[in-house]
Amino acid sequence: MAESADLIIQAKGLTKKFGKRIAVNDISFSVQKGEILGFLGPNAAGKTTTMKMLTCFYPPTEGTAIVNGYDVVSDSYGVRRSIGYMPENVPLYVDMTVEEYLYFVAKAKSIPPADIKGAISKALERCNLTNVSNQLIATISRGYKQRVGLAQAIINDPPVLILDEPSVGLDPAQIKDFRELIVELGKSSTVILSTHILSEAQLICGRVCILDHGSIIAVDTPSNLSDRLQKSTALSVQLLASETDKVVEDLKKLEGVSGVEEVKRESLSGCEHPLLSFKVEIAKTDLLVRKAINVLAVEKDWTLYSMQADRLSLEDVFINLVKEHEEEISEESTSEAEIDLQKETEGEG
Amino acid sequence: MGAIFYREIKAYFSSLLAWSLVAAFLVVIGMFMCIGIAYYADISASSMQGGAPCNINTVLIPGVVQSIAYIFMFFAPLLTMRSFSEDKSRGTLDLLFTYPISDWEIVLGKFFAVLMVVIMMLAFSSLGLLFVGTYCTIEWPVILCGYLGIFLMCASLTAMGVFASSLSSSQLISASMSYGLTFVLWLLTYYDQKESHTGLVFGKLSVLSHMEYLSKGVFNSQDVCYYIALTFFFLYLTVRFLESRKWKG
Repeated sequence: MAESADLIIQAKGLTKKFGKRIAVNDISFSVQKGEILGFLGPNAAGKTTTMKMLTCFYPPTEGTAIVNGYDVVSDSYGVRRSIGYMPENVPLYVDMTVEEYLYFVAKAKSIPPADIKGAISKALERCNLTNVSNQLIATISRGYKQRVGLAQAIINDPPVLILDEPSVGLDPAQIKDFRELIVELGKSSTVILSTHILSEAQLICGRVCILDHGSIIAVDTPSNLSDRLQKSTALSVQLLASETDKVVEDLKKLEGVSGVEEVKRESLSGCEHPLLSFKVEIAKTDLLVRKAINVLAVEKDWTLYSMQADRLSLEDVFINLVKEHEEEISEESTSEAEIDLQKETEGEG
Repeated sequence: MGAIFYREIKAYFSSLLAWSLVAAFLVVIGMFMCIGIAYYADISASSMQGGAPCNINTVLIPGVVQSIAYIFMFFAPLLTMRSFSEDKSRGTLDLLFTYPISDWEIVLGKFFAVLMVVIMMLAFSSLGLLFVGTYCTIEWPVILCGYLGIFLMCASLTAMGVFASSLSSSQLISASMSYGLTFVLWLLTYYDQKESHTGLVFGKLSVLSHMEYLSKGVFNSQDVCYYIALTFFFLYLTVRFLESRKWKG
């Protein structure tokens, strides 16, 4: 567990209710300095609401959060000075030029007048906007608009950056550029971002926080989440050998192997033997099995083509966790309904 | 507040909105002034032929000042409709709330920006009177008092328009609501003439009845206080309405 001095965001029991609707339900999490945390979740999971509470757009109904040492409820000015926020769909004043807009943001963020020019140049440079700085925002491309959105967030060099679906609506090349930019910014600031693109979260986030129905259902690194949900461990083995049956038999005899299944058989040009793909189910740590397969391949004169552990992708983790959580919720509501029905029956009796 | 003021002024003058409204306002004022001068020329001619004596400071000036007040009632909703509605429809208001500026600063920044345009309109409108002043003797304190009255009334109507604009993301709806509120405040003028308790109370709430003395050059602190209170009331309502995001979502 990280020292509390290293924590730049600490949320405790954050809850947001709009009338009877609970948008965020008692969530707690913390973020370390310099970390990139991804918020994942289906639509209406509470990602944007959580981010809006962290940016002091509205206060939590219950609980609190400390951002850079300031409380979002009692010291919202301190929090707002410490963050850079880029909302979804990047709302901008399209009738201003990029530079005019950044000048307005710099003034709004109380940057001293003497430092405004430098802050604008730095933000333009970091977001590669220098060549469009004098253009009206209405006339620049979607990718550039997204960059302007990011430039307004970083203009005051905030220690915390909160980005709500930053790459939505961009083409693949723009997504790649934008992702690299976020990773670069992550070196100097702590970043919280929400995304629907799971591969993006896997690539750039140190940890991910999966939300569903306003609750956190998992917080961990993508690889730890994958390990945690991995029901069985398996190795994908590809080798060049002549007889499939013999290979399966030999592999099954190895210690720690609980099952072998042939997945694919294909011929490679210029090779005498076919390329065989197997899924090897293993009972314990894969290192011993990997070593045994290596030794066996040498003994039997097989050519070991590739060998890698089968891991759940973040997409599988996400789908599994959300599915499990939704099943839990429906079970709970069914049992509550049964209890109510029972009470009613008893009352009538 | 300075940042919001800068943004709003930029938005007004980089679009056709402010320029076209200022131009239309001045054209209408010019027409009314021409009519007023023609009317004054008629009655001064009859005065020279033995009719009742007439004075430019008691006939023309109050008439012009009151017509400016009436005309501004039609222009205020058009001038203020974009204040918050545009930000709401673009989503930029959400971003403003995450900057280290208070709701009061946002409201005042927008209010003073519109007021700046209003001051410009009034300044241009005074050119006609300055021109009249070169041909006859005008009591400048009467004009100053009248313009103070118009300015205060315009500030109240501007605050009301800013409030109406905070209620909707559609500029059309905001302008309609603003016209509705203006119409109510205008209707109250008719209560002022009735000698009943309700008439006394409602009549005192009318924006136009408080212009009566000021337009004639009579400085009445009650009228000044009324306009300041009305302005503050609508600005306060705007801030309260913006704060409702905290529980409405």
